[in-house]
Amino acid sequence: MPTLLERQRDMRDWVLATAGTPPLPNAGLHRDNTLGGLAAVLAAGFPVTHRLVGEACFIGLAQAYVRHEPPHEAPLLRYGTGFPAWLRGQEVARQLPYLADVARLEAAWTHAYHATEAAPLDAGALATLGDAVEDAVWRLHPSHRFVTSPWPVDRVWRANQPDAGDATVDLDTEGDTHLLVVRPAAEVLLIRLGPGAFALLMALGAGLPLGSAWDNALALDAGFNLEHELTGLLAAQVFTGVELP
Amino acid sequence: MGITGIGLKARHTAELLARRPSLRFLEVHAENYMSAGGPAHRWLTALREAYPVSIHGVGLSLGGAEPLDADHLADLAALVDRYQPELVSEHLAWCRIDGTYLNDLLPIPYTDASLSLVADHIDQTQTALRRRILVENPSSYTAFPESDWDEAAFLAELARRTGCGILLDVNNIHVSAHNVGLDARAYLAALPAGAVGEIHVAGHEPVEHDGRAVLLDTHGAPVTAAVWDLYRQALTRFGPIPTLVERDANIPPLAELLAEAATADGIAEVLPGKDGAHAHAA
Repeated sequence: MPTLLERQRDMRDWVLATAGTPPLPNAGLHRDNTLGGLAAVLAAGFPVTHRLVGEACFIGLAQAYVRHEPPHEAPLLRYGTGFPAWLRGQEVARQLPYLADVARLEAAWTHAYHATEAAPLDAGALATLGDAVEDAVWRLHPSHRFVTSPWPVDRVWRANQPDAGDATVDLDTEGDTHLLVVRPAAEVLLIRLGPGAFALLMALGAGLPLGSAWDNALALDAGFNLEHELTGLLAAQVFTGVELP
Repeated sequence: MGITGIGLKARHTAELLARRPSLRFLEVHAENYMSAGGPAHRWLTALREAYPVSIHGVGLSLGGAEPLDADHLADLAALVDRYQPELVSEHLAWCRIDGTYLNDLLPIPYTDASLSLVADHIDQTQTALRRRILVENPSSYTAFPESDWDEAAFLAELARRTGCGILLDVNNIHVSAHNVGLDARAYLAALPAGAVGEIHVAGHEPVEHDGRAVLLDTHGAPVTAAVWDLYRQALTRFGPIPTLVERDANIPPLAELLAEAATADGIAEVLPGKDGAHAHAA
């Protein structure tokens, strides 16, 4: 008789294979359960990608991805972080060239949704800095992710929400997208940034003080208005602290 | 207050917070809360004020041939610390091998070697959590030729060796009885009366697989009359044990789940008491 370890390896090999002889009667039920369950997890995590390609195509892609990269941990909240990069290499991504970037946005959304909580920047802390504000390091909310794409992936995302109606997206003129994905409170925010604001936040996210980050923004966008951008970002509560290095 | 709880589902959260229906407890899957933050933690923190919590793990792989995942066990311990649940449970099954996690509760053969291994894993878990856990009987679709224990005796021996309790899923007994020929009545009789700490009732679906009729444990349909009948027998033997109406697929409106919970409470209310008299309805 096989050992327990051999039994379990045989079952794993069978469940993840596309052919072969079942190691036990009804083992096919476990294959269906595992692949179906994990495909459903991916469908829940990538609902817009799912909608863009349709149910049958998505399930085929998801099951192929599960076989390629099965989960390595029992919590499935983060399962599929490698799915967008894998998707880029599939035939369907040649037909829908924005698809993998939409999936990347969905992965960033999921990250922000489950990320750690942090209190927003206190306006009083900012006031006490006075003129030293440019020397200060501004901490971005720990849930944040940046997503860039030559395609208007945020507009595609919004147009494919359950309550979106019949919006259309012009893929040719609305591209070159820079996004901040962040969850300061209960809701995940997708904030579209101009190139200057994007450069500013990338620099702040890397730990540069505000003055240097401002220079980065101006280098990309000579008309960049720091006060205007910071007012909007502070209102959205994307910062959690300011401190002098 | 009855004896029945329901699983906490995101779509029911707002209604539960607003209406606070009478429920014995809310049950959550441990793995769905193994994140640093997020709305799910906010909801559970709020509901924790109104209801006792039961944490039901599906991913520890107590029956796995490899050592328990130390990170997973630490995450489970942190979750138990954070929410102070009344009940903590896991499964007599495996789901992880060589670092690959299969999203299923896979069966193990019931041998002496399996018994020692699972008992060690339960000991390790109870030590890490600093409390007793309940271990749930699986739904079976196949029997292993090398098994030399029957499942109920295997569970009873695990409880004796480790001090763990048993989470008795009567739907799983019903499904297994059909699929692999268990005797449901003998199963209940073989479990020690004091060991059962929670009961699950759930729905299943008949399917055909490889030309055979199989009952599939889907948690996706209402509880059947046969399962309610087995539930009545279980309560008669084990007493008014906290019971979960378990629904994980085709989630109905909250009112339908509450109605199923009321059915379970109704069965508990008319059981013969210890002195032979009928217990009073609350």
